[in-house]
Amino acid sequence: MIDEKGRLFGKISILDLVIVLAIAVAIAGFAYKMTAGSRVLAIKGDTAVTLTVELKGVRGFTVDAAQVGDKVYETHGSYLGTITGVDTKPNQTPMDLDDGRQVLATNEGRFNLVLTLESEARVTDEATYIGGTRLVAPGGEIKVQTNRLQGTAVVASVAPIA
Amino acid sequence: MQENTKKKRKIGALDIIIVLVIIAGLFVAYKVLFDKQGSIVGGGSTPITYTLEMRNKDQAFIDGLKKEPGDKIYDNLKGGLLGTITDIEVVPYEDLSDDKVNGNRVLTKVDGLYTVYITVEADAAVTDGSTSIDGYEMLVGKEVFARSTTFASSTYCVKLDWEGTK
Repeated sequence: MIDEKGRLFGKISILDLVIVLAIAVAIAGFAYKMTAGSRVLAIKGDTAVTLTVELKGVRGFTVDAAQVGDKVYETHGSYLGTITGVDTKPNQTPMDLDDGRQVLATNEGRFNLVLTLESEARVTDEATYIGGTRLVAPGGEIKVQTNRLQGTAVVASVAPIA
Repeated sequence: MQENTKKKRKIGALDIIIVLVIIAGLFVAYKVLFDKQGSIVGGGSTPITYTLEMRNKDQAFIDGLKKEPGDKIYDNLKGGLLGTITDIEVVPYEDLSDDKVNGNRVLTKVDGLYTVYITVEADAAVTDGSTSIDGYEMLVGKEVFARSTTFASSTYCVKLDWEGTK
């Protein structure tokens, strides 16, 4: 099978073959890593979920750019869901007052933008995955974007749609 | 000599494997670069209008700024063309200041400083998940290092619209 020159069937150098296979494995691994999230949107067993994320301390222009029906993606990543609700809350951060108290001060012109997304998730005993492999859990940070806006969000909740 | 030429023209199994690997690599590159965010709206060239905000600029900067539209605007990092300026607006700069009696932060005008809004028209590829001008992603909230004939500055995209926008 391997001749005296180290060629398989007299044609392919074993060394070349090993190099080519190594390159192919590296490419396959890279491809899996980069596209795994976008492959699985509705595999068997996926559950419809409501994912709520919050972009804290944004200005009015970001609020205006968030619209019901827009699709949300993780920045340079997979599809997360479609916006079904847009809401705002006052943005508050701690402040030390002159009298020594510490309070949560409301920041004028800043908002916490709450986006409700309808999504498909794989729910296991251990975790909830959106887009196949993206683990989402309350408190986790995620960079999001639509075709209009981008920002950093915190996952507020993820719950199956009844 | 003739024998050598004949040998060079032979296509071996290794050649085929290498070609397949290259094709696979190109496919992966395509998937990574272009196939992430769904279908293109408007056939890949949609006229868009966006606004860049430059904050905290002093009087000297404002004096040197060309106020008439028509200039081109470029990405100051890679040099790509980002569109044509259609409007320039200068307003007083406001920043949050602490009200340590009532426990609020309020927007207060800062004397001698300004915010500049530059409206730009460009053709963009609009997909479900991104809007990009000649490969440069333009989204509200994104920091854009922009330059024109009379300025170079860090800016933020604060508004983005295209025809038929909701």
